Amino acid sequence: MKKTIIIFITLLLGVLYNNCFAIEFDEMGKVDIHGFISQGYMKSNENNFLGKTEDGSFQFNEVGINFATDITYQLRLGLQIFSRDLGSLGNDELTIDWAFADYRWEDFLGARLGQMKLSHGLFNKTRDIDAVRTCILLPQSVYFETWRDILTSIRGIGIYGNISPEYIGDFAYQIQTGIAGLQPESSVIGTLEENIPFGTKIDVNDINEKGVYDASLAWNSPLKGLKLNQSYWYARFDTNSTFLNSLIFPQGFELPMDFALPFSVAGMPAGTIIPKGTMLPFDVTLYNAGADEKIKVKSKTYVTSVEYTWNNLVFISEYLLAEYYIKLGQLPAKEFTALGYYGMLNYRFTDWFEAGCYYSEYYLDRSDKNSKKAIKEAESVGKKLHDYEHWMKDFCLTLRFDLTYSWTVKLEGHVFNGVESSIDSENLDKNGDGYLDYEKNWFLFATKVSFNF
Amino acid sequence: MKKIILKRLIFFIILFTACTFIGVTAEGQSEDKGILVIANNSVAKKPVNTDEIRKIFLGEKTRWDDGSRINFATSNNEELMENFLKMYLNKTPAQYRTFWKKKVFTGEGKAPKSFRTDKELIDFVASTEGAIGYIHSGNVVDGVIILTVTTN
Repeated sequence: MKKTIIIFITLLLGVLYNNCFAIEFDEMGKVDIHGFISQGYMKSNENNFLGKTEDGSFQFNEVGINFATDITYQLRLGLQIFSRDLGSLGNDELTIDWAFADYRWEDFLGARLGQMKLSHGLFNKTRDIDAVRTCILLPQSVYFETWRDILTSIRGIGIYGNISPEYIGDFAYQIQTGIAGLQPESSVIGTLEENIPFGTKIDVNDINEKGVYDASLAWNSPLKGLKLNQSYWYARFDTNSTFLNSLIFPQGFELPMDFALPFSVAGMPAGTIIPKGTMLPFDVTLYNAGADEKIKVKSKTYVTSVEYTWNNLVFISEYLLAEYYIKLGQLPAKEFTALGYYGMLNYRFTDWFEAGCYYSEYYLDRSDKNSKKAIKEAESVGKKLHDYEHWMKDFCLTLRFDLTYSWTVKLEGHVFNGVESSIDSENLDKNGDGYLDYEKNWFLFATKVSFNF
Repeated sequence: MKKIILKRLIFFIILFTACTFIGVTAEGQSEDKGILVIANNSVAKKPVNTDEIRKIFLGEKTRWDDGSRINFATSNNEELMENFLKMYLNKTPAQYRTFWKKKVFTGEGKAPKSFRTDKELIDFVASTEGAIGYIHSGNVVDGVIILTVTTN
């Protein structure tokens, strides 16, 4: 109901616009109002991707409306209300997308306080706005949907500015700190629940955020059209979680750490230390189903971006390294570094037609690109894993049609190899063979209609 | 990780030096192409360079030298807008609209005022302190000053 009201208000305001940028109600104290609505459809021939796409999914929409006003010529206030639905993510829940006070002392220094968009590559801040890019789905190698809730915005404080030394181009910087406002139902928590060490399943009860920090530096070089950008963010949080099934080290399993028996087993009293590297002569249950334990998570991400514009041609390339640290209780931490990169070309042929393509690759663990280590770890605790579950290669082609300044229609096709970035709970084992229901090579079609004012 | 950061830093230093050298030595021309840059009478009548024009219309330069606020306005005339953006901002109209949509939908900027005719834009610039805009040359421009634009 709430989303219906937002859609109605957004459409009503949209048809009242008097130019392509804004509606200004001078009687209300010069409040700028802007909005957008998008509705999409996805269909895949194999694998469910961000929704039940094997059957075709219309659970693919975004609605947003924002209000902003200048209190003084240095102080601006604004907020954007947003909701989206993408398969099991979002579910049309109304959220505050951003809401902050922006005070700009000088061109080289301004400050923001409130909830701001987080810096992550070139597209993160506008990832929900279909109208401002060519493609429908951003390359998952850098813009994975399953981590969106921690990537979207930061509640805290930040500084920003533009610096223009002579002859060497311009620099734009931003530094922010705060928290992400994670909830147990956040998409990143869902991803965490699917990636616990030793393949066990947990349910996160509550989250204690230790902080998010992000920074970016953009350089518009003296070479016309060339822009470079470097962004970095760091997040840390702890969770209190409950085990949904028992975590058992089976007989023959090589202990990854020194382990103190919690109770007497095979004549050995409770407290006996079994040293790291021991092949267990019997099953050892570390945690029973229903047990509670704390999980610590840390992540650092670096994205390097290049953008070159030559008239109607735009070339973009981005490179990501993301370090993860997941520690379950007293067990050794799971540490790995994900690697992602893509190259994109967009060309505007006419006022109303633009086409684009990109090729993207993503590996969950750059030291284990062929997943041999992951498969061995899974098998050691009786789990099964396809090698292609830990990578995703994607070739995408998009056609964009701008019917007016405000209305856009897009058609897009993807050829995938691998399924990392898919959601396991949407592709459960159907055959009873122990593997998740994934196919290695698959195709996805997407289309979207957007309106903005 | 440290090796990768070091390699990347070296790459950026080389790229930075190359781009700076190429950019500085490239010859720039500020052709008229039938465009006049006009400003409110409150703005100091001194030449502005192409870099300043670019920063103003991208919202990166928000104050004149005396600290007063810059109010910039754009034209909805497609041909005029296209010529102006190509000359000073290296953007197409579609890229420029997308640039401001990004600013607006992230809360990081306010969309510029835009006008359908030269007369409307002249009236706005004449009546708004610190205003700057662009029109077709050949217009009778009362109540505003014409700024000389120089190359960097």
